[in-house]
Amino acid sequence: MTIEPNLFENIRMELRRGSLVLAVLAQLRTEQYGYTLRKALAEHDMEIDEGTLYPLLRRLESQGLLVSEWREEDKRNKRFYHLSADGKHIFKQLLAEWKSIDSSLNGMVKG
Amino acid sequence: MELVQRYLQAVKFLLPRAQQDDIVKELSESIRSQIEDKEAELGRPLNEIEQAAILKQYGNPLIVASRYRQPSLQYLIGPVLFPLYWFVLKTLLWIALGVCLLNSVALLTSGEPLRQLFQGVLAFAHSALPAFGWITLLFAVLDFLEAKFRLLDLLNRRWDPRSLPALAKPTHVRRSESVFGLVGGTVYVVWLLAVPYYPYLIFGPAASALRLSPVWHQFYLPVVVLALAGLLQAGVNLARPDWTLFRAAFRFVNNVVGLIILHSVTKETTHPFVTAIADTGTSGPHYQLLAATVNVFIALTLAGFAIALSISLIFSAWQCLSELRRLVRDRAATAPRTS
Repeated sequence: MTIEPNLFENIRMELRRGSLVLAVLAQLRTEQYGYTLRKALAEHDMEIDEGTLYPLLRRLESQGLLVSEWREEDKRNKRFYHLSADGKHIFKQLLAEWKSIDSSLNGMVKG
Repeated sequence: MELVQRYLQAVKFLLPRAQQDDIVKELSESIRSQIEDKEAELGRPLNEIEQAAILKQYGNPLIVASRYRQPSLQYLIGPVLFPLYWFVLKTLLWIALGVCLLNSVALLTSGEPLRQLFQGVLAFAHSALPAFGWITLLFAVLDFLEAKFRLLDLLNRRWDPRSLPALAKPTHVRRSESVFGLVGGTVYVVWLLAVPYYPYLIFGPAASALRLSPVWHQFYLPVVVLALAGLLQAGVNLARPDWTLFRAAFRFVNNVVGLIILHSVTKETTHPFVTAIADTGTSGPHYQLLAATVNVFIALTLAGFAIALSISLIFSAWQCLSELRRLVRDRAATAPRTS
Protein backbone atom coordinates (compact mmCIF):
# COMPACT_ATOMS: atom_id res chain seq x y z
CA MET A 1 0.00 0.00 0.00
CA THR A 2 1.36 3.42 -0.99
CA ILE A 3 0.92 6.41 1.24
CA GLU A 4 -0.32 9.81 0.03
CA PRO A 5 2.56 12.04 -1.07
CA ASN A 6 1.54 14.86 1.29
CA LEU A 7 0.57 12.67 4.21
CA PHE A 8 3.41 13.73 6.51
CA GLU A 9 2.82 17.41 5.70
CA ASN A 10 -0.93 17.08 6.31
CA ILE A 11 -0.47 15.36 9.66
CA ARG A 12 2.24 17.83 10.67
CA MET A 13 -0.11 20.74 9.86
CA GLU A 14 -2.88 19.09 11.84
CA LEU A 15 -0.53 18.62 14.81
CA ARG A 16 0.64 22.21 14.70
CA ARG A 17 -2.87 23.62 14.26
CA GLY A 18 -3.84 22.60 17.78
CA SER A 19 -0.59 23.96 19.19
CA LEU A 20 -1.05 27.28 17.41
CA VAL A 21 -3.90 28.32 19.68
CA LEU A 22 -1.65 27.72 22.65
CA ALA A 23 1.21 29.60 21.02
CA VAL A 24 -1.01 32.58 20.19
CA LEU A 25 -2.39 32.69 23.73
CA ALA A 26 1.15 32.46 25.13
CA GLN A 27 2.34 35.39 23.01
CA LEU A 28 -0.68 37.51 23.84
CA ARG A 29 0.07 37.57 27.55
CA THR A 30 1.67 40.82 26.42
CA GLU A 31 -0.28 43.09 24.12
CA GLN A 32 0.51 42.90 20.39
CA TYR A 33 -1.08 43.59 17.04
CA GLY A 34 -1.48 41.04 14.26
CA TYR A 35 1.64 41.71 12.26
CA THR A 36 4.08 41.79 15.21
CA LEU A 37 2.39 38.72 16.66
CA ARG A 38 2.97 36.79 13.44
CA LYS A 39 6.63 37.86 13.42
CA ALA A 40 7.06 36.90 17.07
CA LEU A 41 5.57 33.47 16.39
CA ALA A 42 7.85 33.02 13.36
CA GLU A 43 10.88 33.89 15.51
CA HIS A 44 9.91 31.00 17.78
CA ASP A 45 9.63 28.69 14.77
CA MET A 46 5.84 28.76 14.85
CA GLU A 47 5.15 30.01 11.33
CA ILE A 48 1.52 30.88 10.68
CA ASP A 49 0.13 32.46 7.54
CA GLU A 50 -1.93 35.62 7.73
CA GLY A 51 -4.99 33.95 6.27
CA THR A 52 -5.05 31.64 9.30
CA LEU A 53 -3.89 34.02 12.02
CA TYR A 54 -6.46 36.79 11.64
CA PRO A 55 -9.54 34.53 11.53
CA LEU A 56 -8.07 32.66 14.54
CA LEU A 57 -7.67 35.92 16.49
CA ARG A 58 -11.25 36.85 15.61
CA ARG A 59 -12.52 33.46 16.75
CA LEU A 60 -10.59 33.59 20.04
CA GLU A 61 -11.97 37.07 20.66
CA SER A 62 -15.54 35.98 19.95
CA GLN A 63 -14.98 33.10 22.41
CA GLY A 64 -14.00 35.64 25.05
CA LEU A 65 -10.36 34.57 25.38
CA LEU A 66 -8.96 37.77 23.86
CA VAL A 67 -9.84 41.42 23.98
CA SER A 68 -8.87 43.88 21.31
CA GLU A 69 -8.91 47.59 20.68
CA TRP A 70 -8.05 49.85 17.76
CA ARG A 71 -5.31 52.31 18.67
CA GLU A 72 -3.02 54.63 16.78
CA GLU A 73 0.67 53.78 16.71
CA ASP A 74 3.25 55.34 14.37
CA LYS A 75 0.44 57.41 12.82
CA ARG A 76 -1.44 54.23 11.83
CA ASN A 77 -4.50 52.57 13.31
CA LYS A 78 -3.73 49.10 14.56
CA ARG A 79 -5.77 46.50 16.35
CA PHE A 80 -4.06 45.40 19.56
CA TYR A 81 -4.90 42.09 21.18
CA HIS A 82 -4.24 40.71 24.66
CA LEU A 83 -5.52 37.91 26.88
CA SER A 84 -8.77 38.51 28.74
CA ALA A 85 -9.17 37.35 32.35
CA ASP A 86 -10.93 34.22 31.09
CA GLY A 87 -8.19 33.83 28.48
CA LYS A 88 -5.51 33.81 31.18
CA HIS A 89 -7.39 31.17 33.11
CA ILE A 90 -7.96 28.94 30.07
CA PHE A 91 -4.34 29.42 29.00
CA LYS A 92 -3.12 28.09 32.36
CA GLN A 93 -5.35 25.04 32.00
CA LEU A 94 -4.29 24.41 28.40
CA LEU A 95 -0.63 24.77 29.31
CA ALA A 96 -1.02 22.18 32.09
CA GLU A 97 -2.76 19.89 29.57
CA TRP A 98 0.04 20.42 27.07
CA LYS A 99 2.69 19.53 29.66
CA SER A 100 0.72 16.44 30.60
CA ILE A 101 0.50 15.32 26.93
CA ASP A 102 4.21 16.03 26.50
CA SER A 103 5.07 14.00 29.58
CA SER A 104 2.79 11.10 28.51
CA LEU A 105 4.22 11.04 25.04
CA ASN A 106 7.78 11.15 26.33
CA GLY A 107 6.95 8.25 28.62
CA MET A 108 5.54 6.25 25.72
CA VAL A 109 8.47 6.98 23.40
CA LYS A 110 11.05 6.14 26.06
CA GLY A 111 9.13 3.06 27.16
CA MET B 1 -0.63 50.13 -3.91
CA GLU B 2 -3.47 49.78 -6.41
CA LEU B 3 -2.99 46.03 -6.49
CA VAL B 4 -3.42 45.89 -2.69
CA GLN B 5 -6.60 47.94 -2.93
CA ARG B 6 -7.96 45.64 -5.63
CA TYR B 7 -7.14 42.67 -3.42
CA LEU B 8 -8.90 44.19 -0.40
CA GLN B 9 -11.89 45.07 -2.55
CA ALA B 10 -12.16 41.48 -3.74
CA VAL B 11 -11.90 40.07 -0.18
CA LYS B 12 -14.41 42.61 1.13
CA PHE B 13 -17.04 41.60 -1.42
CA LEU B 14 -17.01 38.05 -0.03
CA LEU B 15 -17.07 38.87 3.69
CA PRO B 16 -20.13 38.97 5.96
CA ARG B 17 -21.48 42.52 5.63
CA ALA B 18 -21.39 43.33 9.35
CA GLN B 19 -17.67 42.52 9.61
CA GLN B 20 -16.47 43.73 6.21
CA ASP B 21 -14.95 47.06 7.24
CA ASP B 22 -13.34 45.76 10.42
CA ILE B 23 -11.70 42.75 8.79
CA VAL B 24 -10.52 44.67 5.74
CA LYS B 25 -9.05 47.43 7.93
CA GLU B 26 -6.99 44.88 9.86
CA LEU B 27 -5.97 42.99 6.73
CA SER B 28 -4.98 46.24 5.06
CA GLU B 29 -2.83 47.23 8.03
CA SER B 30 -1.08 43.86 8.02
CA ILE B 31 -0.35 43.90 4.27
CA ARG B 32 0.95 47.46 4.40
CA SER B 33 3.21 46.64 7.37
CA GLN B 34 4.62 43.68 5.48
CA ILE B 35 5.19 45.75 2.35
CA GLU B 36 6.89 48.51 4.37
CA ASP B 37 9.19 46.00 6.06
CA LYS B 38 10.16 44.55 2.71
CA GLU B 39 10.70 48.02 1.24
CA ALA B 40 12.91 48.97 4.18
CA GLU B 41 14.91 45.79 3.65
CA LEU B 42 15.38 46.42 -0.09
CA GLY B 43 15.73 50.22 0.21
CA ARG B 44 13.25 50.85 -2.60
CA PRO B 45 9.50 50.61 -3.28
CA LEU B 46 8.19 47.17 -4.25
CA ASN B 47 7.23 46.58 -7.83
CA GLU B 48 3.97 44.93 -8.88
CA ILE B 49 5.45 41.44 -9.04
CA GLU B 50 6.83 41.73 -5.48
CA GLN B 51 3.50 43.07 -4.21
CA ALA B 52 1.73 40.21 -5.97
CA ALA B 53 4.08 37.75 -4.25
CA ILE B 54 3.04 39.11 -0.83
CA LEU B 55 -0.65 38.91 -1.73
CA LYS B 56 -0.12 35.39 -2.99
CA GLN B 57 1.01 34.44 0.55
CA TYR B 58 -2.32 35.71 1.89
CA GLY B 59 -4.16 33.59 -0.67
CA ASN B 60 -7.07 33.78 -3.05
CA PRO B 61 -9.80 36.15 -1.77
CA LEU B 62 -12.35 33.31 -1.87
CA ILE B 63 -10.26 31.23 0.53
CA VAL B 64 -9.25 34.14 2.78
CA ALA B 65 -12.88 35.26 3.17
CA SER B 66 -14.08 31.69 3.80
CA ARG B 67 -11.82 31.42 6.85
CA TYR B 68 -13.73 34.23 8.53
CA ARG B 69 -16.97 32.32 8.32
CA GLN B 70 -17.83 29.89 11.10
CA PRO B 71 -17.62 26.43 9.59
CA SER B 72 -20.44 24.00 10.26
CA LEU B 73 -20.04 20.26 10.44
CA GLN B 74 -22.33 19.51 7.50
CA TYR B 75 -23.50 21.81 4.79
CA LEU B 76 -25.04 21.77 1.38
CA ILE B 77 -23.11 24.80 0.17
CA GLY B 78 -19.84 25.43 1.97
CA PRO B 79 -18.39 28.74 3.21
CA VAL B 80 -16.22 29.15 0.10
CA LEU B 81 -19.05 29.16 -2.43
CA PHE B 82 -21.72 30.56 -0.13
CA PRO B 83 -21.04 34.29 -0.78
CA LEU B 84 -21.38 33.76 -4.55
CA TYR B 85 -24.50 31.62 -4.10
CA TRP B 86 -26.09 34.23 -1.85
CA PHE B 87 -25.24 37.04 -4.27
CA VAL B 88 -26.82 35.20 -7.24
CA LEU B 89 -29.91 34.34 -5.19
CA LYS B 90 -30.43 37.91 -3.95
CA THR B 91 -29.94 39.38 -7.43
CA LEU B 92 -32.47 36.95 -8.88
CA LEU B 93 -34.94 37.72 -6.09
CA TRP B 94 -34.86 41.46 -6.72
CA ILE B 95 -35.14 41.13 -10.49
CA ALA B 96 -38.05 38.68 -10.21
CA LEU B 97 -39.79 40.85 -7.61
CA GLY B 98 -39.36 43.98 -9.78
CA VAL B 99 -40.81 42.26 -12.86
CA CYS B 100 -43.69 40.86 -10.80
CA LEU B 101 -44.53 44.25 -9.26
CA LEU B 102 -44.39 46.00 -12.62
CA ASN B 103 -46.68 43.40 -14.07
CA SER B 104 -49.15 43.80 -11.18
CA VAL B 105 -49.08 47.61 -11.42
CA ALA B 106 -49.62 47.44 -15.18
CA LEU B 107 -52.61 45.13 -14.69
CA LEU B 108 -54.11 47.33 -11.96
CA THR B 109 -53.75 50.56 -13.94
CA SER B 110 -55.34 48.97 -16.97
CA GLY B 111 -58.49 48.37 -14.95
CA GLU B 112 -57.99 44.78 -13.84
CA PRO B 113 -59.47 43.95 -10.39
CA LEU B 114 -57.36 44.07 -7.21
CA ARG B 115 -57.18 40.30 -7.01
CA GLN B 116 -54.82 40.42 -9.99
CA LEU B 117 -52.23 41.82 -7.56
CA PHE B 118 -52.50 38.75 -5.34
CA GLN B 119 -52.41 36.50 -8.36
CA GLY B 120 -49.25 38.30 -9.42
CA VAL B 121 -47.65 37.59 -6.03
CA LEU B 122 -48.69 33.94 -6.30
CA ALA B 123 -47.24 33.78 -9.80
CA PHE B 124 -43.99 35.15 -8.36
CA ALA B 125 -43.84 32.31 -5.82
CA HIS B 126 -44.60 29.78 -8.55
CA SER B 127 -41.84 31.01 -10.84
CA ALA B 128 -39.22 32.13 -8.29
CA LEU B 129 -39.16 29.12 -5.99
CA PRO B 130 -38.24 26.55 -8.65
CA ALA B 131 -35.56 28.96 -9.92
CA PHE B 132 -34.12 29.24 -6.39
CA GLY B 133 -34.23 25.45 -6.15
CA TRP B 134 -32.28 24.98 -9.38
CA ILE B 135 -29.68 27.55 -8.34
CA THR B 136 -29.27 25.87 -4.95
CA LEU B 137 -28.88 22.50 -6.65
CA LEU B 138 -26.32 23.92 -9.08
CA PHE B 139 -24.21 25.38 -6.27
CA ALA B 140 -24.56 22.19 -4.19
CA VAL B 141 -23.18 20.18 -7.13
CA LEU B 142 -20.37 22.70 -7.56
CA ASP B 143 -19.55 22.43 -3.87
CA PHE B 144 -19.54 18.64 -4.06
CA LEU B 145 -17.22 18.72 -7.08
CA GLU B 146 -14.99 21.22 -5.32
CA ALA B 147 -14.66 18.95 -2.28
CA LYS B 148 -14.19 15.84 -4.40
CA PHE B 149 -11.56 17.17 -6.79
CA ARG B 150 -10.09 19.95 -4.61
CA LEU B 151 -10.85 22.49 -7.30
CA LEU B 152 -10.09 25.43 -5.02
CA ASP B 153 -6.58 24.18 -4.28
CA LEU B 154 -6.04 24.01 -8.01
CA LEU B 155 -7.56 27.46 -8.45
CA ASN B 156 -5.39 28.88 -5.68
CA ARG B 157 -2.22 27.51 -7.24
CA ARG B 158 -3.04 29.01 -10.61
CA TRP B 159 -4.43 32.24 -9.21
CA ASP B 160 -2.47 35.40 -10.05
CA PRO B 161 -3.23 38.54 -7.98
CA ARG B 162 -2.77 40.64 -11.12
CA SER B 163 -5.90 39.07 -12.59
CA LEU B 164 -8.04 40.82 -9.95
CA PRO B 165 -10.81 43.07 -11.30
CA ALA B 166 -10.14 46.81 -11.54
CA LEU B 167 -11.12 49.06 -8.63
CA ALA B 168 -14.84 49.84 -8.46
CA LYS B 169 -15.84 53.23 -9.78
CA PRO B 170 -15.91 55.94 -7.11
CA THR B 171 -19.30 56.49 -5.52
CA HIS B 172 -19.58 59.99 -6.92
CA VAL B 173 -21.62 61.33 -9.80
CA ARG B 174 -19.07 62.22 -12.45
CA ARG B 175 -18.95 65.88 -13.35
CA SER B 176 -18.89 65.01 -17.05
CA GLU B 177 -22.19 63.16 -16.57
CA SER B 178 -23.80 66.17 -14.85
CA VAL B 179 -22.45 68.61 -17.47
CA PHE B 180 -23.73 66.36 -20.26
CA GLY B 181 -27.11 66.16 -18.46
CA LEU B 182 -27.26 69.96 -18.21
CA VAL B 183 -26.29 70.60 -21.83
CA GLY B 184 -28.43 67.78 -23.29
CA GLY B 185 -31.33 68.66 -20.97
CA THR B 186 -31.22 72.34 -21.97
CA VAL B 187 -31.29 71.46 -25.68
CA TYR B 188 -34.22 69.09 -24.99
CA VAL B 189 -36.20 71.72 -23.02
CA VAL B 190 -35.60 74.39 -25.70
CA TRP B 191 -36.71 71.90 -28.35
CA LEU B 192 -39.84 71.02 -26.33
CA LEU B 193 -40.74 74.70 -25.86
CA ALA B 194 -40.18 75.50 -29.54
CA VAL B 195 -42.11 72.53 -31.00
CA PRO B 196 -45.63 74.08 -30.66
CA TYR B 197 -44.47 77.12 -32.64
CA TYR B 198 -42.23 75.36 -35.15
CA PRO B 199 -43.77 71.97 -36.15
CA TYR B 200 -40.85 71.59 -38.56
CA LEU B 201 -38.77 70.58 -35.53
CA ILE B 202 -40.80 67.41 -35.12
CA PHE B 203 -42.11 66.63 -38.63
CA GLY B 204 -39.32 68.02 -40.80
CA PRO B 205 -40.42 68.62 -44.41
CA ALA B 206 -43.81 67.00 -43.65
CA ALA B 207 -44.68 69.82 -41.23
CA SER B 208 -46.96 71.43 -43.80
CA ALA B 209 -49.07 68.26 -44.03
CA LEU B 210 -49.08 66.77 -40.51
CA ARG B 211 -49.95 68.04 -37.08
CA LEU B 212 -50.02 66.60 -33.56
CA SER B 213 -53.46 65.46 -32.47
CA PRO B 214 -55.04 67.13 -29.38
CA VAL B 215 -54.24 64.05 -27.25
CA TRP B 216 -50.74 65.41 -26.77
CA HIS B 217 -51.85 68.75 -25.33
CA GLN B 218 -52.78 67.37 -21.93
CA PHE B 219 -49.38 65.62 -21.60
CA TYR B 220 -47.27 68.48 -22.89
CA LEU B 221 -46.93 70.26 -19.54
CA PRO B 222 -46.02 67.14 -17.49
CA VAL B 223 -43.34 66.26 -20.09
CA VAL B 224 -41.87 69.79 -19.89
CA VAL B 225 -41.91 69.65 -16.06
CA LEU B 226 -40.15 66.27 -16.16
CA ALA B 227 -37.47 67.66 -18.49
CA LEU B 228 -36.98 70.69 -16.22
CA ALA B 229 -36.70 68.38 -13.20
CA GLY B 230 -33.97 66.48 -15.05
CA LEU B 231 -32.07 69.74 -15.50
CA LEU B 232 -32.44 70.48 -11.80
CA GLN B 233 -31.08 67.02 -10.89
CA ALA B 234 -28.05 67.47 -13.16
CA GLY B 235 -27.43 70.93 -11.64
CA VAL B 236 -27.74 69.64 -8.07
CA ASN B 237 -25.36 66.72 -8.77
CA LEU B 238 -22.88 69.06 -10.43
CA ALA B 239 -22.73 71.03 -7.16
CA ARG B 240 -22.97 67.92 -4.94
CA PRO B 241 -21.40 64.92 -6.75
CA ASP B 242 -21.58 62.92 -3.50
CA TRP B 243 -25.42 62.96 -3.53
CA THR B 244 -25.66 59.62 -5.32
CA LEU B 245 -28.79 58.61 -3.43
CA PHE B 246 -30.48 61.80 -4.70
CA ARG B 247 -29.67 60.82 -8.30
CA ALA B 248 -30.90 57.25 -7.80
CA ALA B 249 -34.13 58.42 -6.11
CA PHE B 250 -34.69 61.03 -8.83
CA ARG B 251 -34.27 58.43 -11.57
CA PHE B 252 -36.72 56.13 -9.83
CA VAL B 253 -39.39 58.86 -9.50
CA ASN B 254 -38.62 60.03 -13.05
CA ASN B 255 -39.19 56.52 -14.40
CA VAL B 256 -42.44 56.08 -12.47
CA VAL B 257 -43.81 59.43 -13.70
CA GLY B 258 -42.61 58.67 -17.23
CA LEU B 259 -44.42 55.32 -17.20
CA ILE B 260 -47.62 56.94 -15.87
CA ILE B 261 -47.52 59.56 -18.67
CA LEU B 262 -46.81 56.88 -21.26
CA HIS B 263 -49.62 54.72 -19.95
CA SER B 264 -52.06 57.67 -20.10
CA VAL B 265 -50.98 58.50 -23.67
CA THR B 266 -51.39 54.96 -24.93
CA LYS B 267 -54.77 54.58 -23.19
CA GLU B 268 -56.12 57.10 -25.71
CA THR B 269 -56.03 54.42 -28.39
CA THR B 270 -59.13 55.69 -30.15
CA HIS B 271 -57.29 58.84 -31.20
CA PRO B 272 -54.35 58.94 -33.60
CA PHE B 273 -51.08 60.53 -32.46
CA VAL B 274 -50.83 62.71 -35.57
CA THR B 275 -53.35 63.75 -38.19
CA ALA B 276 -53.03 64.98 -41.76
CA ILE B 277 -54.00 68.62 -42.32
CA ALA B 278 -57.28 68.56 -44.29
CA ASP B 279 -56.36 71.19 -46.89
CA THR B 280 -53.53 69.48 -48.69
CA GLY B 281 -54.89 69.61 -52.23
CA THR B 282 -54.18 66.75 -54.61
CA SER B 283 -51.63 65.22 -52.20
CA GLY B 284 -54.40 64.52 -49.64
CA PRO B 285 -54.44 60.69 -49.90
CA HIS B 286 -50.66 60.61 -49.88
CA TYR B 287 -50.54 62.56 -46.60
CA GLN B 288 -53.31 60.42 -45.07
CA LEU B 289 -51.10 57.40 -45.75
CA LEU B 290 -48.10 59.25 -44.32
CA ALA B 291 -50.06 60.10 -41.15
CA ALA B 292 -51.12 56.45 -40.75
CA THR B 293 -47.51 55.30 -41.18
CA VAL B 294 -46.25 57.85 -38.66
CA ASN B 295 -48.95 56.74 -36.20
CA VAL B 296 -47.80 53.13 -36.44
CA PHE B 297 -44.19 54.24 -36.02
CA ILE B 298 -45.06 56.32 -32.94
CA ALA B 299 -47.05 53.44 -31.41
CA LEU B 300 -44.09 51.09 -31.86
CA THR B 301 -41.66 53.69 -30.51
CA LEU B 302 -43.83 54.23 -27.41
CA ALA B 303 -44.01 50.46 -26.82
CA GLY B 304 -40.21 50.24 -27.03
CA PHE B 305 -39.93 53.25 -24.75
CA ALA B 306 -42.26 51.61 -22.20
CA ILE B 307 -40.07 48.48 -22.13
CA ALA B 308 -36.91 50.59 -21.73
CA LEU B 309 -38.51 52.64 -18.93
CA SER B 310 -39.65 49.47 -17.14
CA ILE B 311 -36.13 48.03 -17.22
CA SER B 312 -34.74 51.37 -16.10
CA LEU B 313 -37.30 51.42 -13.26
CA ILE B 314 -36.09 48.06 -11.94
CA PHE B 315 -32.48 49.18 -12.26
CA SER B 316 -33.12 52.52 -10.51
CA ALA B 317 -35.02 50.75 -7.69
CA TRP B 318 -32.00 48.46 -7.27
CA GLN B 319 -29.69 51.48 -7.25
CA CYS B 320 -31.84 53.20 -4.62
CA LEU B 321 -31.67 50.15 -2.38
CA SER B 322 -27.91 49.83 -2.87
CA GLU B 323 -27.37 53.50 -2.08
CA LEU B 324 -29.56 53.27 1.01
CA ARG B 325 -27.66 50.19 2.20
CA ARG B 326 -24.35 51.95 1.61
CA LEU B 327 -25.57 55.00 3.52
CA VAL B 328 -26.64 52.88 6.49
CA ARG B 329 -23.33 50.99 6.41
CA ASP B 330 -21.27 54.18 6.20
CA ARG B 331 -23.16 55.68 9.13
CA ALA B 332 -22.69 52.52 11.18
CA ALA B 333 -18.96 52.55 10.33
CA THR B 334 -18.50 56.18 11.38
CA ALA B 335 -20.59 55.82 14.54
CA PRO B 336 -18.48 55.65 17.74
CA ARG B 337 -17.74 52.07 18.74
CA THR B 338 -18.98 51.02 22.14
CA SER B 339 -16.75 47.95 22.53
